[in-house]
Amino acid sequence: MENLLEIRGLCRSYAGFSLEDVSFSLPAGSIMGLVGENGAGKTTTIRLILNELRREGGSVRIFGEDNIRGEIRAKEQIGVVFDECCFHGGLRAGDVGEILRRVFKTWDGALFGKYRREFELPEKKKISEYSRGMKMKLSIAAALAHRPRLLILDEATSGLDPVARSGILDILLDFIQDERRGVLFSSHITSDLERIADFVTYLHAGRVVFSRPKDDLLDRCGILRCGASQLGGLDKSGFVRFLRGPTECAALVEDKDAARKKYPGLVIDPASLDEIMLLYAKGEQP
Amino acid sequence: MKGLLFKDFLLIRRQGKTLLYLLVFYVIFFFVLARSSDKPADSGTVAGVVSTIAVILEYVLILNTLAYDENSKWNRYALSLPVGRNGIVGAKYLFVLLFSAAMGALSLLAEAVLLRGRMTGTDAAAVLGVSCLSPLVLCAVLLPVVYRFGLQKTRFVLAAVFLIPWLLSSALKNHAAAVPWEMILRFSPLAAALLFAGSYFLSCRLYAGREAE
Repeated sequence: MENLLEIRGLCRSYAGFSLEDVSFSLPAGSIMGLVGENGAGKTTTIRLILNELRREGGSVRIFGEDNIRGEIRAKEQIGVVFDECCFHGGLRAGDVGEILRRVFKTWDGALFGKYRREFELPEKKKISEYSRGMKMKLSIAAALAHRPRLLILDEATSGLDPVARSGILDILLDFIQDERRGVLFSSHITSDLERIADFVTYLHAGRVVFSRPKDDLLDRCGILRCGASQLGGLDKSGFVRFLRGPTECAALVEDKDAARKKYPGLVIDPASLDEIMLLYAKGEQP
Repeated sequence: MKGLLFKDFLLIRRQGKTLLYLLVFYVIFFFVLARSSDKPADSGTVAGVVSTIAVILEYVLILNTLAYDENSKWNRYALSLPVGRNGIVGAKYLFVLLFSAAMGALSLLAEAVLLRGRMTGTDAAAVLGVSCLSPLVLCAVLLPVVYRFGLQKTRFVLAAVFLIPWLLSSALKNHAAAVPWEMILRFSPLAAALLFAGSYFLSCRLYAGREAE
């Protein structure tokens, strides 16, 4: 399957933060969730992909071409949604369509109008009068109406209520029905990613902890739970990370079926993305 | 680039109307004043008033587009569009150029109305020089600083930019007769064009090296 996006060894450092050796690929026909706590490097990664920041090492290839050399060509086929609506509040939805019609060669005014009606965005109302959910929907309509192959969303669902978030996730699932397309979706709301992502890349402190199919991750990984007094007597070689609590301890295991055989008397639950992130971020290595 | 240019004109649309009404009000005011005083308005005064209002109007609106871009995080969004950094800079320079030309033409028209057909070539050149060329020169100084540091950090430069013409006029006040006005008027369009073009290339270089906030 063709990769829409290929990142290899991407590096960038600031004072107090460095993104190191970030690598992952986004195959066509899939949604990649870029997950991590605030400050993990998700937005920096997206900025490097869009050439808003200069990379210090590594490579970014979009549609098979270097993101700097083929920047304009690539951006004709990319739709971007940031965590805020970037259109001035004095403009109206119709104005946004008129502006972007003059920017994208493949702009489809009829499609923009269709999204605008579907999302119930009044054409004549000022953007400043829209709710946050409406602003995000406008940003998504604007990102989709030139029929991009790659959609990049940077925390686009943050700060939205569950109903608005669910609506946006449905739009993404609909977008991906065409298997030549792909979505890179950064979020720290793991439930959103559990619902729609095909792949998950977890960034922690500027490094990729894992990048793998979501179903494989959630099907295989498990959380072993035991009392604090039991932990000392356990063989920790099968643990990825473990966390000591005052009364209960939790350990992330890579293969929950194997762990159930190895530790027959203990509870081993399926792991959620939240728990996996928590254990990687706060847990001890065995 | 066309889209970015169009966006700037859309942004100033509403405010532009208000300020345009203000300009029309002043034109009518001076027209009535000139009629009631039995003699046509003094050309120097008229040119000065109309051009000053036009320049203020241009400044307010150009700076507003820069402030709107910064406040709405448009600059970051624009970098995600297939326009390139030079396209973003180019659109702003083109906007300044077209807007200044339009305001120059409008000022000329206003002066023709006020002077009731007695406009000399020097009057016309003075109006165009002030209302069309001076914003180009001032933006040529200001925009590279904005593209290097952002508008918020450029406030002190703004103050300095406004001080330059005032300092120049103060310095020349007592030597007006000795200033070769004819030569200045003749060569100022070329000098302004060169400065503006040089400023564009400098802004492109500076913006290429600046990272989005």
